[in-house]
Amino acid sequence: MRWSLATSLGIHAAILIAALVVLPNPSPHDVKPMEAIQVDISKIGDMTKKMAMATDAPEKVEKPTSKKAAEQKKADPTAKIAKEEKKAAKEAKAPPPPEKTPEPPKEEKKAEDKPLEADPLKDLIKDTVTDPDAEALALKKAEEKKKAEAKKKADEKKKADEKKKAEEKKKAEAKKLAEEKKKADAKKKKQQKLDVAKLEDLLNSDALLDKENDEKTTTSSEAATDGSPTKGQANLQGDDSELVGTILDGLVSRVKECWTVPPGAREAGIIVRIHFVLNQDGSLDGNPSVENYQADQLFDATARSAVAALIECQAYSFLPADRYDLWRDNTLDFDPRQMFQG
Amino acid sequence: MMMTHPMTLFRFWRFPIFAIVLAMAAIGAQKAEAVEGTVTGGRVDPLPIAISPFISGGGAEESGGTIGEVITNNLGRSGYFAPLDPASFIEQIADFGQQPRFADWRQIQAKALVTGQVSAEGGKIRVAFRLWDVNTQQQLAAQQFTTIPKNARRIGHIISDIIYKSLTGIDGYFDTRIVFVAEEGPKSRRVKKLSIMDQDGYNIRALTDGRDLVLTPRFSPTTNEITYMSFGSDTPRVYLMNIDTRQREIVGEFPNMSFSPRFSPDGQRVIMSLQDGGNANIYELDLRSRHLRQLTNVPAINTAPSYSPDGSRVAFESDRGGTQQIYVMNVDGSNQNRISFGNGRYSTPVWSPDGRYIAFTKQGGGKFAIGVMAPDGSGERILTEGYHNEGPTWAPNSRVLMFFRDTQGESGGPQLWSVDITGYNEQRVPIQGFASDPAWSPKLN
Repeated sequence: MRWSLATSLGIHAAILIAALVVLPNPSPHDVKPMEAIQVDISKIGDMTKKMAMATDAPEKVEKPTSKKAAEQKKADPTAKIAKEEKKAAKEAKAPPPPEKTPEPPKEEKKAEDKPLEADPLKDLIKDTVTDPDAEALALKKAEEKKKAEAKKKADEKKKADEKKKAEEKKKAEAKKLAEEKKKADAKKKKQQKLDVAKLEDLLNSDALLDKENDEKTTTSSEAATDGSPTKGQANLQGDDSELVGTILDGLVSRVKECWTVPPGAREAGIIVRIHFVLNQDGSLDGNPSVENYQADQLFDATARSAVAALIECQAYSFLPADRYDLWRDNTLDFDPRQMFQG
Repeated sequence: MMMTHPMTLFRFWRFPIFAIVLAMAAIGAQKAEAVEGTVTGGRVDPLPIAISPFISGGGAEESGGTIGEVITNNLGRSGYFAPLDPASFIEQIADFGQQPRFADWRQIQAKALVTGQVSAEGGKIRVAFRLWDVNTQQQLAAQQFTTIPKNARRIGHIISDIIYKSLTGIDGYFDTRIVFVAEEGPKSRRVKKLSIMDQDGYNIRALTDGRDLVLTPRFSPTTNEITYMSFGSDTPRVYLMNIDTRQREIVGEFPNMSFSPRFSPDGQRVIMSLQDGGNANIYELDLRSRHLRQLTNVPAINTAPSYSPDGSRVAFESDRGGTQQIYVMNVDGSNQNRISFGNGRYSTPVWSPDGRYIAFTKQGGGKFAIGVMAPDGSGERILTEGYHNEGPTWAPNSRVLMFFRDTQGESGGPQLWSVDITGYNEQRVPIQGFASDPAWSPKLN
């Protein structure tokens, strides 16, 4: 008994010692090949980018994705919340529906007020009466304006919807291409729902990391060497701000040519803020609206001169047609304060 | 199994971060879609305006022509408008009730359009007009008047005021009058008559016969009364005259000369200088109570007083410091401070109706200039200068000054001129003969 026990202990000890000495060797050698895999992943990114840059990038097959996504959606209770978040984000992103507070009250009021206000001969010449036609004309004008505004609203809404759709599509396309290959199916139109489970996968997957890297490096020298901008990724913050500056300069110098500044406005410190929307051909979409209306004759004259200048100067066809998104919606401050010559 | 794995937590943290990044990108993209900026300048050219001939018939043709002409002249002379040549008009307005064809008016570069009609009705005329903004196609003003044909020019001035105000936001000054001294005859034997006319030089009427020398007429705020200095008897005195009745009266009984009078803004008092030996001081006379109050008491010549529009202060000239300079004091005579410090002599201060400026005559370097400064003496600007410019008077809207300009030589003489507050648009008042000492009335309506 004692013998067998001793033998058993001895053998076990020998095995343990042998294991300690022999087993650690193979593992360290497996790590280095992993680095080679990372290089491989970055190549996938390159492919993704190239595909994204292709102008005729084909639409991906959506069916397999939808099945998979549907299963994941069932399994994940947070999907609904994610959907709502996405919806909110989309709403924030959508261009402000052009429900521009129509300030026609001002103009309507003006049309009605004038005959009343201008009654200077009341004391001197007893027969002074206001012009009855004026009101009829003012009403007619107001009606026309109302109609024009309704149309404008409808058009703007339509445009906003189209734009929204285009943006969604653009975004879906970008994401879809970024994941590419095996994971690509998990995205597409179902992106609107932003499946959390799928997102988790993506976040942990090298593919997404790679996509993020790609997005970052689109502006880098790597993209530059490709020589062409990435499709759907042209809204590069820096470039746009420069372009917006150029657009603004163009608009301002054009409008200056048409703006006859009322004399009193030059030294009265009046600034008129006007919002206007342009059509794609550079013409005005509806009437410009005064954003900071003040009940003052001098302000009124200045505001009217500014609106007239915008109307007179149209169409602004020199603006870059391919970046209509940048100059569709505009606000200009008309500030004649620096013009007082004295 | 139900325990949350640390990695899962990490994943959930990453999702909101991802969402935030997306949202920020969306906001950024949205921002880039709106152009915002400032237009800091524009044109200061006169505004091209088309004044369509007033449609008239049935004996009202002459009135129609007169009204159109008055409006065209007024707006053109203001320097803020450039009336277009009717020969360039594409559309001939034939129906006053119809909307104009704005494209036609835009084509000739008109920014504003005036249409009107005049009809005769039982010895009277009925005048109607509309003002249009050609670009916005908006009717800016519309009015009609019924009056006797004799008032056609007056109606033209009133319509001009409405147009001017509608387009500039500033009160017009066309329906106003000028009282002045009309001068006739050679320099050595000049006859001076107190006279009155419309601001555009029409309807001149003499208020005195020229036997007495008259100087420095000034309007009362009610526009039907003037005060002036006349050498009626032996001693020069300040007078009041009712323009309608031509009745006149001496203001106060003073042993010595009284001169340089001006009404207070409420018309209840007259401020003037009274001679005291070799000096002159400023006094205020209450026209109802006849109470006289002395405001300055300095051994110097203190004269040319002018109230601020609120009546609380008085600007005047004084040589108490050795040369003529402008001073400002409270209406009770306290706190007398010099405000002019430039090179030269300053005289005839006149407070602008809006209270922002004091106009003056400045003499120096062999020239006489008309200028303006703030009531504290800052921001002095010379508007015009030359051989002899003197006696500025303000249009009721504080945008235009009238003064007289003398010319050299035996055949030379004073003429009335106007200049914009900016120093531009000098215009001679188109009257025959010589004229000096203008005073602009308040608006008649």
